[in-house]
Amino acid sequence: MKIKCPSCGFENIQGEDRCDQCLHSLMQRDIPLPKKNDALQRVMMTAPISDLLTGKDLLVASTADTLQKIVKIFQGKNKNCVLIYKKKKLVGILSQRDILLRVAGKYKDLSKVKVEQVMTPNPEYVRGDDPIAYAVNKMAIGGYRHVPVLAADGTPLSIVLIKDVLAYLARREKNR
Amino acid sequence: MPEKSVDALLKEKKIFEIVNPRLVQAPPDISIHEAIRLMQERRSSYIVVADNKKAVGIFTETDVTRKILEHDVDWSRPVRDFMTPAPAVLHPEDTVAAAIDLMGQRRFYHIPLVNENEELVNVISVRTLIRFLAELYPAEILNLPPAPDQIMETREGG
Repeated sequence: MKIKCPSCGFENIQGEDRCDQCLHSLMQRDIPLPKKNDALQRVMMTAPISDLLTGKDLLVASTADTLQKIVKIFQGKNKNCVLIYKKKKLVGILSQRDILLRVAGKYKDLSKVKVEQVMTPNPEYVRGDDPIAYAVNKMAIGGYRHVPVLAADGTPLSIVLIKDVLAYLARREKNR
Repeated sequence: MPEKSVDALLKEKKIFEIVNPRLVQAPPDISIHEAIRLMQERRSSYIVVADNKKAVGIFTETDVTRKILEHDVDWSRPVRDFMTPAPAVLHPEDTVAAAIDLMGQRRFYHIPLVNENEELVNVISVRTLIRFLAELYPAEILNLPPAPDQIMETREGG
């Protein structure tokens, strides 16, 4: 049996104290457990992020794309966040909030503004099999409303939206 | 960790107990130009548009990207023409569960809060909700490794 590192996903042999690849401690993996009688807490701590993805939110662009292009896509596709890739690596994220705060009224011609100039660089991300609580934590601490979900090799899978988390919880309420 | 189940807590906790006193509002006749500048100054993604203490609309980042950027719009026009009118509202005495429900279903980021006279008093944001939720979980699972190469000198508590 292998133990998967909660940080980098590397599969370690059983009994290791630290991840062989990134040195993250493997000691805390099994604690704490959700309280037995608490359904909501249990689902947040055990259900994987992949459970709440709709599969419709993934949008990827390149650093060299223009803001004009991104705005058109947001308008046409009803999207509000895009992952920015360069050479198959996630280098940034650009949301409507970034556009409002950094672009609106500050540039005359959006066809001359490159994504690179205004994106939020090096965003934090999660993996599909991380518990929902991980995504919630990133959102709470960083104040993000969108967190990229990547496969182990770095390819983009989706974007988890803060709305998805709330919708998931609200839906659970309804179903009970 | 709370003694009560999270479900129970959400249904019990009132919105006014968790919100911050931070409300960005403006009258309906301010121009688009002024509205966007106000949002940028306050680093806010929304403005609650209030007329005579009533929340008559909400103007958000989505309205800016959808209706204004790359459209031939005169920025001196009033925000009233571009806001989303008659926003859903909640009362500060409503429960946190009700706010989660409304935001999850209707996909809002901000919901204006009004008092018993329907006067605008505050706003609850999606981030406030998520922070509240995050605090309900034990710290250990949430404490992701901030620096993967960091090596702890001693074991926790040691």
